[in-house]
Amino acid sequence: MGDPSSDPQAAEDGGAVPGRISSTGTPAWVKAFGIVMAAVVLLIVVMLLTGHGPSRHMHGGLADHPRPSADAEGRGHP
Amino acid sequence: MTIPPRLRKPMLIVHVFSSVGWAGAVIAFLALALVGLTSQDIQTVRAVDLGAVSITRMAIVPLALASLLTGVVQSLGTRWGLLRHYWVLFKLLLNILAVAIVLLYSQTLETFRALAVDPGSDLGEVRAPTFVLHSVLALLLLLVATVLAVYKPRAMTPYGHRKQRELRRTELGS
Repeated sequence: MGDPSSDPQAAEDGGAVPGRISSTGTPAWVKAFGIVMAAVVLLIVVMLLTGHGPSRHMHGGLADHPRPSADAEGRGHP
Repeated sequence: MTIPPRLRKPMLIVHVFSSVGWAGAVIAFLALALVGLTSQDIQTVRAVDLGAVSITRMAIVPLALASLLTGVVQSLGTRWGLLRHYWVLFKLLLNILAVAIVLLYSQTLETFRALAVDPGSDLGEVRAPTFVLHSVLALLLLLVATVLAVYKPRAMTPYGHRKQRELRRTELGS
């Protein structure tokens, strides 16, 4: 069996060696990262479900300024 | 199936180039967004909105998809695997999340594009603080992914441990 530390792929990757056995159990950084990611995803889902979208980024909403017609777009487009 | 050694570095180059290019495109987007946020000239802000749409469609989306695709190919084609190491798994999830947000954000961009070409819209309506917020958040996400890629913190998933045991059993038996 080849020494994982001499794995040329590991040298290319320049980082931790894929073949080395890490300790069992989930490291703290993994748990913390997982919790943060789950919270971010949950936040995004909640924002989408509660109507976070294009209309929230406008002062007046599209109702005050309907989408321009094709002619208006042609004149207004730089 | 692993990537042949002669293809490994070219594949890595494509992945790094597309990922760094993605970050660069977001930085360009942020620069435009800051101009749009601070300018008092409505024509400038309209131009910013249109420029933001172009940067997103022509640079950010293609590069984000290329980064995701090449990252998956890189992982599957090397001994790192896609699900064996937490740093790879988290990078994958971050990449998928970022691509999803970029695609969803296209709706917001379309709204501002429509306002930008509407001669009746005023400065307050075409100005888009959301561009600054989302681009800063995107850069933070890409920074986290970069840190993971460089440091490759050691931690294998349960699946990774299982595959490693199988590999060692195979190697000991041969």
